[in-house]
Amino acid sequence: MIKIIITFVTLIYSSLSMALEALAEEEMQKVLGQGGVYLSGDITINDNGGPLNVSGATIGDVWQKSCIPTSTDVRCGARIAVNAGDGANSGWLVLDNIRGRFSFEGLTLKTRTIDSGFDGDGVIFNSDVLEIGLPNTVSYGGVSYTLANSSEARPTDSGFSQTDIFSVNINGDVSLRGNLLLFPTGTP
Amino acid sequence: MLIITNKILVVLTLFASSTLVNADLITLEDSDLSEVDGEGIGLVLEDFIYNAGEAVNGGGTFEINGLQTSDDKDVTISISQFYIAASGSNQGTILNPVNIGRLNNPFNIELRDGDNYGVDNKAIFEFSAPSVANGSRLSERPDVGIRFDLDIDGNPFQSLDNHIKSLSIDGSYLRLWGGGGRMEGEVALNIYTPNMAFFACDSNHENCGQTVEFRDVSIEAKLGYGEFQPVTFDVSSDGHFHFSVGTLEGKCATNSTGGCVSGSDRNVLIDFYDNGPKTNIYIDNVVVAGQEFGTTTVSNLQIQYLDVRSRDL
Repeated sequence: MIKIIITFVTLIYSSLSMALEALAEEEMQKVLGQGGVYLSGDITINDNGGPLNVSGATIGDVWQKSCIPTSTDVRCGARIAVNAGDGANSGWLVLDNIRGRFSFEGLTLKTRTIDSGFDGDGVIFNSDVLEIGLPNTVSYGGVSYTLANSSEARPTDSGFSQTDIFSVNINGDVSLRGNLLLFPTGTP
Repeated sequence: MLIITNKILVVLTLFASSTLVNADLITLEDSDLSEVDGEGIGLVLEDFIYNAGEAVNGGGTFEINGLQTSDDKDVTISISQFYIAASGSNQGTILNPVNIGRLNNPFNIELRDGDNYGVDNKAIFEFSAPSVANGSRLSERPDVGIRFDLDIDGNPFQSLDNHIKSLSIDGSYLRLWGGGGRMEGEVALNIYTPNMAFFACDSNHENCGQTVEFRDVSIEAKLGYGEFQPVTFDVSSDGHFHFSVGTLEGKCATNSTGGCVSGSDRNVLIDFYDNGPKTNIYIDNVVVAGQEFGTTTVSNLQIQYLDVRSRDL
């Protein structure tokens, strides 16, 4: 937006003093962009469960599973099921019972030119990167998930059986500092 | 942006030409995708620190459970500390930021042309660590460690420490492609570290026992050789995982003494033994409680067939 305004003002100014003129490269170089984006987030996933519905059925106890945080009902929590394929005999690798609260302050997103530092690599690199600034602290509130193997994609499918491999519970702060730099590689 | 524009142009051109010729939309074949050239996304972590666990950041819970002892008692692994930080961390007590990956040799996500990797007419997804040549310098090799407590049946039992100094995984990669209705791949895992240490303490993390150290460790493990010997990972319909490295059995016609008859099949096998995936391990010194056990070497280990399945106990 600022760019548009600056361009506009420049145009008005030049039209006042003389006829319209093309903007020279040097003048465009003086235009500054905004500094990027600063994000803070607070995400709660299936904090109190959320039973998976049987297709079509909306009555009965299908919606009424007790999904308090200590519940181990397989219908509670979010579920991601992936089939790596191998015909009719295949099953599903599952990240199950995903729930809890993640919050962070100060995830930043901006572009940056690197032409120095990195023990001498910066000078050679001399290019733009997308910088994702990691928040210094990520707070977890009762976050849990279970890694499992399952015969069916959903616990409501017929013939469902599941082998839980392990569960992870996190409650507290995790330090996550630094920047993730993304940039194109190869010879386009 | 240039890359994205180029890719869009290629896709648009493909669509445009097919429209002109067939006057109808057609699906992109594997062979079309296999012409994708090697332009990818580089990833570098700058000034990075990761530190989590119950003994840091003011406490909290970080548990892994679901395991059981042989007499069916629940085992909980409580992670006291899990850290990734600059080398010289003194087993996770001094955490300084570290750059992981180099700008001119970063971690990389790419689509590769399968024709160059023994997977004909298919595109390969690749995630790779920096290459070994011109690889990570000492300042770019983080210390990684984990301390955890074992709770058995609710009772704190023992604390275990694992610390890896100046870890480099240069040269590692994961390649995936679709083959015959399933996911296939090949994987390389390289681990280089001057010191890997393990020791146990009591449940208060005191009275620690003797340390088992592996000094100057180089592990270079490769599994899978294109479509000739793919690595597969899937889950069976009864809910168990299945990991396999393709068999070499039946890859050539055999003569009366069991050897391969000469021909193209045999040449492929000769190529496999000459250039195929090998695993090498070198440990300069294994030290237990200050006693030196000397050097351990495993070289040119080739896997002809591997099939791992989980079972209920």
